[in-house]
Amino acid sequence: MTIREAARGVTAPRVIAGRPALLTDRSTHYCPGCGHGVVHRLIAELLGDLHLADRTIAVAPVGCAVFAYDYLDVDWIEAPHGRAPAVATGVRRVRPDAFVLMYQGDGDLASIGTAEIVHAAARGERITAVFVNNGIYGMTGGQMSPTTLLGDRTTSSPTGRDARASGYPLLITEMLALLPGVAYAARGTLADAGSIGKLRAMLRRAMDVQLRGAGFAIVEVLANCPVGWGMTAQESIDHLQVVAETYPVGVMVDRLKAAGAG
Amino acid sequence: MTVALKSAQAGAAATPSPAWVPLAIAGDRCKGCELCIGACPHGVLALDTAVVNPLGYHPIRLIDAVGCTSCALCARVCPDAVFTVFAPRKEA
Amino acid sequence: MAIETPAAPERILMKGNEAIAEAAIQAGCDAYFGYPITPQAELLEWMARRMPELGRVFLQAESEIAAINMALGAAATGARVMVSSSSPGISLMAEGMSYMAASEVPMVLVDIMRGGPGLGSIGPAQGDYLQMVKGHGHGDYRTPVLAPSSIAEAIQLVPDAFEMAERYRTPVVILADGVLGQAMEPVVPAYRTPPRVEADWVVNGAAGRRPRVVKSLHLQPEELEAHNQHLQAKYRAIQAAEVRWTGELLEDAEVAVVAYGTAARVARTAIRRAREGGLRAGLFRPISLWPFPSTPLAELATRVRGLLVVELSAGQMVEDVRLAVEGRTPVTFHGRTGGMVPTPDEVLAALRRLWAVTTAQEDIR
Repeated sequence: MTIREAARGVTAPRVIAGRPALLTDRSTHYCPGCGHGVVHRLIAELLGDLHLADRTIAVAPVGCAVFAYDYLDVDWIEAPHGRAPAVATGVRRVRPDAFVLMYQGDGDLASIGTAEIVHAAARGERITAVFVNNGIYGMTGGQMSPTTLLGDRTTSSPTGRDARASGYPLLITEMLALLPGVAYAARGTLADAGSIGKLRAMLRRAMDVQLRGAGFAIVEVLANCPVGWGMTAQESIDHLQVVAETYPVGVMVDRLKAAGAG
Repeated sequence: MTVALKSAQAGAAATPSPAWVPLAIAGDRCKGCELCIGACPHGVLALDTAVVNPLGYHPIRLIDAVGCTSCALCARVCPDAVFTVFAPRKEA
Repeated sequence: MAIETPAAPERILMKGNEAIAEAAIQAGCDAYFGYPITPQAELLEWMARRMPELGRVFLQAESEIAAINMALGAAATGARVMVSSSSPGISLMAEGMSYMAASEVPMVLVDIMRGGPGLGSIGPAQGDYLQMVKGHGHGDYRTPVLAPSSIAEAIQLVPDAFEMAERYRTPVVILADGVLGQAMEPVVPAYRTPPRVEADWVVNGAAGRRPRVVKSLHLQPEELEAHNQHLQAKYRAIQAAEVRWTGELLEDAEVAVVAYGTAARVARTAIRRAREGGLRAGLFRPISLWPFPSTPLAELATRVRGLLVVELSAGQMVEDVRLAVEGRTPVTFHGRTGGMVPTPDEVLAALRRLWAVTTAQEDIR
């Protein structure tokens, strides 16, 4: 800034929000308005803030986010459907200094991968799980998942999910929060800008928990799927309020805090 | 205090210098989802229906730079990280 | 002047499962993931005791599915990894094996076969030849398969397997059965630690380099075809360089048994009894089941009246023998299933029938 500029009182524009460096320069394949985009962005921001990029080994799911490795600029391993927690366990056990991140959808984590997430959590693996729950199998065309709400119409529940045939929505994060090895379990939502800010704090906490060696950390994100739900992007964001009636938002367990470790 | 507020108090129609805008938008990455429009408290964003970007969408456009307070809620909700938000311009 | 005799190398009595485990440890295995299943539980237990002693990784997974996926993760970061199981568990690992082969991640998998199909039995069997040799999971891939027929040989093959896995970036299978796993034999363990290979593909944190991805998804047909062609070229290279087999008493053989693993041990006794009775029998023993020793077997086929394939199965390797022989000589089969082991006398009787039939055919002509 020159003296003349200072005299005129003009300051150089300061960037207060921008595209995080760890998001690659590609346009994503996600649908317009898709929640994956926001979650990817938050992770990129946080890995950058915490200077973790150089030691992150991330595990990608099978689902819409199968291409996460094209968008977040860190080392990735592609896991078979549902197996990310086992793959992440293998990484964590042989690479004690790595930062291990898992990214999974609800079909991946809460259906075929239920055994793997439960046991990784039970073992207290020092890994951070990001669980993007949009209550649908997006990539394969919009089928019902174990977290689909009762009454919701999907391509495999065309008359609406019926509890007698398909049971009730599965509350994975609440179940995991019961386990002593789980140091942090929380559920956030993309329902509005304020919630996204709170979600960012949850993700940050989940990463901190790993860095402090406290145990397993999971953040479930109530996310939208406009195309799968047959809504506009804004309608699907608004619908997250309804989802939150079945999947309450909040922190279920934070053992570091409970122990007074802050 | 933002430029907009100050100029409203002064009663003058203040125009920021052309070199400064509160938002930069990577229009080629926008998918026209309009979530930013829903999040913006000041109604300063709209789809540019005169343009079709390489992805095939009408990209978002800042239609009222003066009205933008750099609150950055658009950037927070954007799934494609198209926004760069600059701090409000300060006058001495 | 006293002549010093070098001390005789120490022979120790080792159980097969434990010998394989120790051979892996001596070969520099960094991590072992497994699940309890008979008849290989002792391998898991040996690793449970020894790996933590050495500060290495041992983890009993919640399932074989989890175990193979833990191996994928660990090996993708460059660790030297072993997994072991038995037939039903191997079925669960099929998906993981396909992913590891396609992602070109090295690993050693030990399969101690048991009676099948289904829950089957815990007795020895060779009923998984097709499963292991023709590619446990989906897609166009192969993995090298090494079949020891003694505990001493198993100890030798383990470091070879790690070396092959890392040189070619592929899972490698050591295929044995419940007899080998459970038996105890005196061995002079020939442990070996293969040197580490510099790997420019591992994902271990992208410090100082561009990030990497270990994956097997290639959605563009042209890209996936190119990847498959790359894999096939690798398999051709393995076929050219890694065939292993051994022969006994083949130089003047009129008939020969083709057998591997425990079946070969039975056959060895049978051919000796045959020779005592005046029948010139020999043994062709494949050690690499993939790549299959087709060329030497085809050559042998031109010299003998017939081949007898002996397996602890309903007949699986016999198909590859017939393919290799291409009709040059009759191929017959003797096998037992269900955990039953063929006896030398059964094999001898089958050899004599083979000889009689092929001689009679000659007389008719």
